[in-house]
Amino acid sequence: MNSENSAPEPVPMTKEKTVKEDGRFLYYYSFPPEAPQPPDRGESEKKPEDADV
Amino acid sequence: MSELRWHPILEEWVITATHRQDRTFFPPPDYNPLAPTKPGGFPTEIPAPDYDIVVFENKFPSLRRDPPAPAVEGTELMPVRPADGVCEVVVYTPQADATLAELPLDKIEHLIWVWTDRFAELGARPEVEYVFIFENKGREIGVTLAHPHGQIYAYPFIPPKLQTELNAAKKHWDKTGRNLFLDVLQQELEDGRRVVVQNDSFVATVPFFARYPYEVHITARRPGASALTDMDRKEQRDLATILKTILGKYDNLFGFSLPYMMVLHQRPTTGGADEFPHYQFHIEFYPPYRTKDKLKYLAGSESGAGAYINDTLAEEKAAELRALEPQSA
Repeated sequence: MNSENSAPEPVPMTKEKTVKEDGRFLYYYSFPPEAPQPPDRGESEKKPEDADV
Repeated sequence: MSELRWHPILEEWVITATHRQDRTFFPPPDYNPLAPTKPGGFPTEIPAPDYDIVVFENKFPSLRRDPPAPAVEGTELMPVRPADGVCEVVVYTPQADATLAELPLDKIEHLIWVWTDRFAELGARPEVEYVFIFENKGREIGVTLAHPHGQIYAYPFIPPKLQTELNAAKKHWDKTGRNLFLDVLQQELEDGRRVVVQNDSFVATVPFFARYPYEVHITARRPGASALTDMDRKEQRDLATILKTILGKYDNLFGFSLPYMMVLHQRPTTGGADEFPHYQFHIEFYPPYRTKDKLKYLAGSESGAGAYINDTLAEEKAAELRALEPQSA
């Protein structure tokens, strides 16, 4: 019924909203290249025995 | 015709959408409606020669903005209401023969950004109470277009399964002051037998109470992460990573690209994170295969009584998935 959502963290993404001939909305999402990320990102998987509970 | 009819015995809304009988059913490759429109070619749903990710309102929606008036009159006992809401299609890539598992990690991360944006935008609509993001993959699931895509339903009510989860989580919170999902996760981590893979932000398990043989839940570790909009860049990246790992393991299971239902469970959009501290973001996968050549059917007990029978042990299936290297079929 309403939105109490906090604003998502900004990301390098552009959104173009268009309207199709029959009135339906269509959104193009594009992703400009950004600066390289540190190499360890996305490689943080642990095995079950490494569980830090 | 589409409308919401109240089921007074199960206390839930049923969506009738008869126009969906006419939807596109496995068109030939030259008439793929989710492909880019090439110059001089068949005009698809997407009037552009290329794209990264596209979202559009479903041509055959179950719920719609400005829905027609119901075609039947309801009663006090069995009311009817317009099928308000939004149904969207999310096209992951212009590549018609790809799968989500095969997309590079960056592309999966981009998809998570798009999901986050759609959750925020659709959740802000006054008639919407719940934004449900999902993917049905494979003919076995009833998919009618092979091109990699998912869907989003923005419901004007909280769907029954989510309401059941919310009720259980609130009850546990009121009784213990703790988050039910994180208590379950803590026990899964302490036991360890059902953990498939984990990273800094997420844990994937075949849960203790799995109802499908290869059911996997990916649960956010951080308290307060009850929706995609709560996540920072590191968590988004970790989600992409663990998603790709699970999908790659699925595809290495039987030597073919495994069909599945993938559903994102988030808090309702009727409030923010502060109002749902008892809830936790998670993704559930329900693959329909129980062996390489046998399907798990939702038959009499499951469909008629709501009592699932799992022919396998979660501990064994988790070990099987854990041992597999991620690989695209």
